[in-house]
Amino acid sequence: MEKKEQQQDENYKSKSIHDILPLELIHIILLRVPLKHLSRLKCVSKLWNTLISDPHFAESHLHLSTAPTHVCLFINEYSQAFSVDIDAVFDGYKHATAIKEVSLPFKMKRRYNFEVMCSCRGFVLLHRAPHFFVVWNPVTGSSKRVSYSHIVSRCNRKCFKFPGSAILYGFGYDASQDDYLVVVASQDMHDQEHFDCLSFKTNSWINLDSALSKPLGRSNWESRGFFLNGAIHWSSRTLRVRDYSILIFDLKERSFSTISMPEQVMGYVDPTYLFLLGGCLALYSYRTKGNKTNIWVMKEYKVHSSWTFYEISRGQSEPLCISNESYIEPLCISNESDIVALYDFCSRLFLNFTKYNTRGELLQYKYFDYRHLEHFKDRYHWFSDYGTSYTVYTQSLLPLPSDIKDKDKDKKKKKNGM
Amino acid sequence: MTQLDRLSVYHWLNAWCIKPVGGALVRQEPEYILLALMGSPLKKIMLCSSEKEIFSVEEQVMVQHSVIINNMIEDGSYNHEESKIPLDCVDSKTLKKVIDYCTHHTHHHNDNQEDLEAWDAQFLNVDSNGLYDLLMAANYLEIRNLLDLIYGTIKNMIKGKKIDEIRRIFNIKDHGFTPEEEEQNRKEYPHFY
Repeated sequence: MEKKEQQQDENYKSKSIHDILPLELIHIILLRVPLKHLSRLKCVSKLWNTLISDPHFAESHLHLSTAPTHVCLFINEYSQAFSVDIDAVFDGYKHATAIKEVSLPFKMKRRYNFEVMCSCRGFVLLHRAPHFFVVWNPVTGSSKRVSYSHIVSRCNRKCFKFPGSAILYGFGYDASQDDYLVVVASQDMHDQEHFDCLSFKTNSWINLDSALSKPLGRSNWESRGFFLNGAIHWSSRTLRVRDYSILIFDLKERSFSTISMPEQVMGYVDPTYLFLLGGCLALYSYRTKGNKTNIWVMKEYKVHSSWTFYEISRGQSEPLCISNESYIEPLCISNESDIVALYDFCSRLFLNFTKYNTRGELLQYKYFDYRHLEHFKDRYHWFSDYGTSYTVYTQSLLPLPSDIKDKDKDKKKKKNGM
Repeated sequence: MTQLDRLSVYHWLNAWCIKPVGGALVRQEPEYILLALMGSPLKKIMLCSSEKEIFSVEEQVMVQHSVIINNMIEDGSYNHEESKIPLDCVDSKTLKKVIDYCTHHTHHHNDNQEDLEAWDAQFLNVDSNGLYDLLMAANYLEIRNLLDLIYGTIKNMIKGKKIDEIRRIFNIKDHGFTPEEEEQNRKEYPHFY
């Protein structure tokens, strides 16, 4: 009798969300949850697990996200890595948890040198000595390692080291093939230029020498490429070659083209660097005379007239006054229009972040003391000028294309009773 | 021409010149302004709930918020004299609440942000079932701002909570994992629970 009453009670009480809401609405709810909570939600119920684990979900989440989570991954010369959640840096409550040590994939007992190279759609491309590229999604943990030894053996240097030894390198996504690609331009021992492309889907290298219609030149371009809109972009070494253009390699068409920088850049006496800001191509140049940073943002892709100028004057951040040579390196956009930058990156004691509005006025300044991190306690400093690398990436749950294939392989193995 | 006080004129100009439709702003031709001033203000439409209860509501209120109703009226499938709009998947209690929301936001859309947010918070102070019903109604009628509000509320119910608590809040009694899978999860991520 008691059981019957209990059952009636159960039916009378509210039903579960699964019984009431249709699947599509639960799907939308999950799509709107910020990424950092999603891995936890996979454990709530099998249904939520299935919805979140679907590869199309990760894709939709990436596109729907109005406020992508920007994370900056640093690796120092001891191959110690830590990540900083840039949005949390300036948040009063979350500041302390913004910085986390991370353990790199494929880290063996023997100390291998790691370096950050580029990022794309939530994946980070790392270089691991002696001759490996590692692609890694820090959120999901999935990673893959591929060797580039054939490039090394072709070259005249015994130790072909990234990034210095490459003419160009870049990491991007070819939507038409659902494939992640790494491209490398290098010179062989006869000074002949080569252009190679690694496909992470097939784990193989393709030779694209035919795409080089004219020679790139040993040091005409800044070697690090930036992925945007299906293509990889490099800036020319403006001071060295007096050429003010941006080189573009379209991953689908497999061809090169160039666009030009704004005319004002021609007058700069300091080097100009390419980077990505708010989903747009951008250039920055630190003017040593006058302590200003010039930032140009190409608001509309490939529309020359859309280059927009922003100036950040160091005089505005007077309170910081660490040294006369402190300069800023812009990182990303926060709150839709504020520019976040690394300040005085080579400081021995602190990791400094500054935030500016579009008028270049300093809004906020936050720093981290190295003693917060376990592994850094014994170090006198975080970084040296040489040997540190970082990249900003936006978090995603995307799987590598062949991850799905591997899962199927595992299933088959289980079926065969292995 | 009926007597129109300043407020009504303002409302009509607002409604007919530039009006929000399902979140987007749509500009109307100036002829409509004249039509609006000549015609009777506060034109009403009839909405019929699943329990066959009829609610009368200002046309411009629903047209401003619900894309579905706006489309029905614009393409002429709704006849003002005779028809009522049947909403078979929305019960009376929920429909009344939806109408409340739309009416308040139309008449008070010039209020400052804080007051509106406070009213919204009070509006959503309902039990989970009521919230789900509102969500499904807002989804059916395509009321963008109400949808955003409810999704935001549910998102906040989820953020930062442990898994056992989330299951309690959403009444998920059968999580669907096998005992082995559940144990595996608890072992791998103890801090989630």
